[in-house]
Amino acid sequence: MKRSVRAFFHDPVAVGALAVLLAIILFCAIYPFAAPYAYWEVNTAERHQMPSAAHPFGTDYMGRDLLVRMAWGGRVTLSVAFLTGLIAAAAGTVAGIACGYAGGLVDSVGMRVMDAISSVPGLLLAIVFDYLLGMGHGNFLFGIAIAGIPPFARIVRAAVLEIGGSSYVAASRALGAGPLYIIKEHVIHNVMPLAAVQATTSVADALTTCTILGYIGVGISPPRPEWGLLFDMGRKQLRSMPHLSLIPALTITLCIICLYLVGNGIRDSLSAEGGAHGR
Amino acid sequence: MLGYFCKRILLIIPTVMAVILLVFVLMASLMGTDTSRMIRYEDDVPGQAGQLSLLEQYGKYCYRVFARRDFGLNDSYNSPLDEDLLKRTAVTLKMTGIGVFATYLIGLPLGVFAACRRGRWQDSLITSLTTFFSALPSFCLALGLVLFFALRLRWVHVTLQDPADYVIPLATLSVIGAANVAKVTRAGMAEVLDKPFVLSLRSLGLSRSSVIFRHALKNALIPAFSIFNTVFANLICGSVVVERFFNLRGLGTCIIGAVGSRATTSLMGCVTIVALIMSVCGVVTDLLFVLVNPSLRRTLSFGSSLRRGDRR
Repeated sequence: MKRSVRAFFHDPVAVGALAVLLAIILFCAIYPFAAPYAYWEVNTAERHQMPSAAHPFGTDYMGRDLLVRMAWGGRVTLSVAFLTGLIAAAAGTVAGIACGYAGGLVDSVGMRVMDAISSVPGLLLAIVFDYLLGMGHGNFLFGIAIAGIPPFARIVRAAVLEIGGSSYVAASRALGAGPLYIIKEHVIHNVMPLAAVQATTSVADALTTCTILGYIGVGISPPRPEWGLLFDMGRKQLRSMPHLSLIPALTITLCIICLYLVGNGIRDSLSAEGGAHGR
Repeated sequence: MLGYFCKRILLIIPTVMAVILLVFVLMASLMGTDTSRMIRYEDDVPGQAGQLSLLEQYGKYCYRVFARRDFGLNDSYNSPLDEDLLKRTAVTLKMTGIGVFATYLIGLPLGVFAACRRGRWQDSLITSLTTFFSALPSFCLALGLVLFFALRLRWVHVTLQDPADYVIPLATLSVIGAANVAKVTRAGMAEVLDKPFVLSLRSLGLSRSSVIFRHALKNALIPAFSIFNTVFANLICGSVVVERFFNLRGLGTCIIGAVGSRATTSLMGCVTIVALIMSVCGVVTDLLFVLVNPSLRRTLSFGSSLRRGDRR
């Protein structure tokens, strides 16, 4: 474990991506307290401004400062992405361990359910959940989280099957270890690194879905800024003020690419340790 | 083999019915309280709405859709939904159909090329490009393409006046999928090229291109086609975004509009059609899989999933 952490920090691309990601998160967390404007503050005298010293990202059609709206939007978008991504990670890991360890009927039914979920486009799942369970209560979160479960369950299940067949687990069982002990001591330790790699992908996917939902106007309702929503509002002035939509678009892209690069870094550092199953 | 696919095709309708059942179960919380958000039909008697139980409504919906192709009433115009829905499905299928061809047409050669140039600058260029594009959300790509090709270079119209203007939405749809296909193909091809049989064929005097195209390529296609289902699901998601961005009247804009105007009947129709498309897609994936991997033909039996063992 220590060696792979060191390997990760020797990879300049992964560390750089992690730094950019942390900088964006910190900025979104802190800037709203330090900002001279509120995200809802309308100032009709300063409508449609290009970026300047007073408004580093310019202002929109109601004179609202885009920088502070981006910071607030980042709070919403990033917390949705990390929350749903991590819920999917937890649920998928549990499902994968259950399927892989129990085998038999549980396994075949469970994996069938995963096949069914993954054959529905994730975006549609989020839209349908939000609509059917009542809009405006954040129900789209369930949809995003559920759509993220199957890849986790598959990866974890495959790893569990591999570990379950290994000789040291057989030895441990021969020494009288119960299933819960084996899962806790052997399975989870070995599965965690793999799950960590998949978690970055899953957060990135959740971020994409969340911004697309904002862009098509489902999920988070307009007075609150969200990156996809900000992008959509800027799109209406594409010809005259492209920066209004370019800034949200570039920020979203930057976040997702950084997440992928961090995931690649973790994977490379694990293989530097000699196989994904090192402890 | 033939029997397997007959059964797979026959299973399409039960699969779609299962999806509809799930949606109805989720809808249960709405049904009790809000009759205005139920499925509406042309021959509804006013005042009798909400008398059927959830299960009866489900049965009625499935019967009408599969036996009479009746998707109910359009909530905002009070006209039958099926004609509008079929028109929209045609638009979406045209886009995603051309999109999936373009995806594989771009992705496969790129992946094979990168694998053949492994470790050189062409490989690292393609690998970083595919990482970038597979991470890009579709609306960001659409924005970039429109800003550059329509507003700066003025090669195409944003409003899609000529057939040539459809290049931009199609490119938006297929570039991201192509990046994913290229990634998977490169990994598959690189793995095959490391196998001993490639070396022995080369040592027997076969040319490099003959080994790559006649022997290695077939094996490298397997992972690329096993993700056909995922690629198509992503294309459907992408088409929701693209249709909104370019104001096309397809299924995606129908879904967005239905959610905006609380039109349950329209949304259910769209969900049913997407479920139908996706289950047909599952059969196509299996078919492609057998085409590129003939050794599976003998092992095919009913109830076995082809793709599961290869997923990790």
